[in-house]
Amino acid sequence: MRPVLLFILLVASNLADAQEPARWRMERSVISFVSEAPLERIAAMNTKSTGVVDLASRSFAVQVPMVEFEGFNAPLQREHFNENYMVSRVWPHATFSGRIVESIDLAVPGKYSVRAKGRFVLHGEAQERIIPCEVVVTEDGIRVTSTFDVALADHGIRIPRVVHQKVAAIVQLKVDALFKPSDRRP
Amino acid sequence: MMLRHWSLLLIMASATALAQFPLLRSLEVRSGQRRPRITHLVQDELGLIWTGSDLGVMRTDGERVEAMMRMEAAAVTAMNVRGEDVLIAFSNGVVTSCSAMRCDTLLQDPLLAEHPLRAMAFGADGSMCLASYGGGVLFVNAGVVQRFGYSDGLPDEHVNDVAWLNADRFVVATDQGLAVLSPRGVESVFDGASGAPDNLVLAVAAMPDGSVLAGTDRSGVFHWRPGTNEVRSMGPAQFTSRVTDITVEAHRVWVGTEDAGVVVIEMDALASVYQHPDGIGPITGMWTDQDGQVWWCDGSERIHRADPAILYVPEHEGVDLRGVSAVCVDGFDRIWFASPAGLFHHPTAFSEGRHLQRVPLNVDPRTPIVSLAATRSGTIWAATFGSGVFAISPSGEVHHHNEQGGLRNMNVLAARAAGDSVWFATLDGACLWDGSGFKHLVGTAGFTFDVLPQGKDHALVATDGQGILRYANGSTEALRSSANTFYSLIADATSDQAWAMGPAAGICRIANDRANCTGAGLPLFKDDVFALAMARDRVLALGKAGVWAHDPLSGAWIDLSGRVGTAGAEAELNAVARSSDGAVWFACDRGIVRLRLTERHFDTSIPLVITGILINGDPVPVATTIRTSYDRSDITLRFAGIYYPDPGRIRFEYSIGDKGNILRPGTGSWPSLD
Repeated sequence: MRPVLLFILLVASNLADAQEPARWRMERSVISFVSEAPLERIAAMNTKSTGVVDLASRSFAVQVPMVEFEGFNAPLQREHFNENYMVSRVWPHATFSGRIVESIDLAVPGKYSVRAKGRFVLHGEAQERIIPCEVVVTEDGIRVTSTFDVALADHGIRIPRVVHQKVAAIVQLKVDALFKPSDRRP
Repeated sequence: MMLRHWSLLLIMASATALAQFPLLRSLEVRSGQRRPRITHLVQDELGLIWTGSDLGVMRTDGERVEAMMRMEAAAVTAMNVRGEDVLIAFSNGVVTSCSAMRCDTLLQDPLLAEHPLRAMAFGADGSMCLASYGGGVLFVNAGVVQRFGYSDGLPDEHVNDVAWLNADRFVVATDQGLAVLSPRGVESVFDGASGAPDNLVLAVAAMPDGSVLAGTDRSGVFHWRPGTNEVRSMGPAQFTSRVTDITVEAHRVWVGTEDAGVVVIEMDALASVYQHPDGIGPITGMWTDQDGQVWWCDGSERIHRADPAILYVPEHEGVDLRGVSAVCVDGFDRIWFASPAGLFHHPTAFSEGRHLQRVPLNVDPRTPIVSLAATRSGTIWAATFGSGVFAISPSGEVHHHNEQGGLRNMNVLAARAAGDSVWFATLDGACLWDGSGFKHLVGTAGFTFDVLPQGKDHALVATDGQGILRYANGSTEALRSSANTFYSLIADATSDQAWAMGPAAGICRIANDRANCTGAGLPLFKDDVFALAMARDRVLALGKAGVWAHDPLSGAWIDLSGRVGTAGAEAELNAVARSSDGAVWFACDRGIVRLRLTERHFDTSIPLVITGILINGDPVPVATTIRTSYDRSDITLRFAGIYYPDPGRIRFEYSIGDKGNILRPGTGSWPSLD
């Protein structure tokens, strides 16, 4: 199933089944990245992501609007990020959708180390990824944290040689997201 | 087409400290200047190797590479063999069936473009089971396609691999465990909830008994019996890398990993494990060929072939085994070896789970141990060149024997045990330890290289200058032979036939009062010779030029050098032993080499296959009879000789009727047959 379609279906069914707690919605999130290059450190974060997780099937879909990344070292840098590297005009979102590998019951409180396996799409290019995550289930919701690397070349993002000392080829991403049942709207 | 040559990749050439691994050869497969990234590999019915890569499909006989087909903007995602045909799946949703002549589209499905096939397997009835990543499982039989997904009980539609179990049943590896299914539906599921060590199963192989081997993301390989929750983890506890592929060969499981190379698990009683960490990328395309060799690819332009019968042990537990000067096997099937690092013993199954035992022995490093012998009572005798001999009792007590104790000479070249007696060859004749003292073998004065006990008070002695001496009951006679110098003696345990080897003599059968020699003119005997050994009723002669085998029944000689891979190696004299399973252990500067030769190693026949026939430039089906009309008499035959150990050595000759011609490799053309 196409990740975008999965995402739409999950969100749509989320709305349709608002009374059923099987699908939880991302209530808040912080997705940040750091590029550590020899001459420059670039960091930005995004709090406008959306996502859903289906407790029954353990499937998930997350969508990150690229233009909502804030931080950077200068407005021009942010502009270059969107115009030249992410080409946000053409590919406005990064998405990650798939399924949690481990047979855990996300409805049971506890702390779990799991693998999220799925299709990670960035800059229009998809890569199959297995991303280790920490999942903490409490009465407040399902909190998911993860730190992983993304090789820009894997997603067709080319770093011009003239700036290769300022933009790292491998960027570290951090995710901190909280999911709540879709009927628990703020 | 491009000519490509084998490169013999012996692991001892690597700078890293590698442990034991079967003899490995690599072949570069390229058609043109570009370097393909090969991810798939199969062997067809003729014996030719087909590879799938980002540059399309190629076929090779080990010497020549042919580009078979390529699809624009579509990479190969799966390959397998069904009968005479090679089936290839592409990322654009097309499945083709290729023969020697051409390729035809077998199946085209938009679903498979969205969710490419990862694997294909075939049932005994010719039905196909296709594993699609994201599209579930497809059964294809007699043109009918059935799809199984979540709604049919499949635990996950992301299917990574498939293997045929039996009848029309298959086992699939999915992101959420294993499933057994047939055209009738999903029979059973085995996942984490039911006891699987890891849900994420990436590779699967079926055993002949119907059980399943599964390779996982984090938990290595586990063994499962369908219909039960019985599971057993296999291999090293520290399976540090994701499993990418599995194949089963004889009693071994070969496991390809993401970035830790290939792991071999022997499932016999010895349960050894070997690991070869080299490799550029994920190991894929694991395939057991018609000769029992295992192939794989690593994402580069090279494919690799391992012979499990030839095991190289260059190092074990940090001890360098490339300078071993003497070996023997004791009654407990332990291999003893002497190296500059000391005297050690180890079970004859080398693996990471078994440990070397060092035996404390104070030997002057200027007088190394050159021969080892094990008596029936378990005493190990270590013969040195310059310091006499040492006897190590099973309790570890060491007795040093020298000339003062009656040893004939301190420079001992060979020690051979017979029961609890030990015979020695020294620079001043041979002597015998009978349990109470040394007794000189009268008439054997001078340089002696080896001694072969033949019973109580009977022995053969290999000398330098006096040929072979027979010692019996206190007297010695020289056997008649064509040479005066002999280095090695051996006896065939089954027939008691004795053999000798010398640099100018070849090998000689000892019969009555003479040594009948053969093979002196062979290339092996033009260079240093090291030892004799017996394997599968043949006499092996090991030397710097390689290994040759002599069949006593037929008198034929077989050059095993290419198959064993020891050509060019240096070794000490007679540093060879034989274990109870018939394996020959040979110590050389490449490590200790274990040879578990099978009959196929001695098979000198080279399959000749016709890969294509053209008449007036048009391909025609390959058949035993070619019919053509008088006006279409331009016939071209394409053929190949399949000999992967050393394909470059094949030469062809042919003749038609009463005409003889020397054929240039690969193609014979008759522009106008009368």
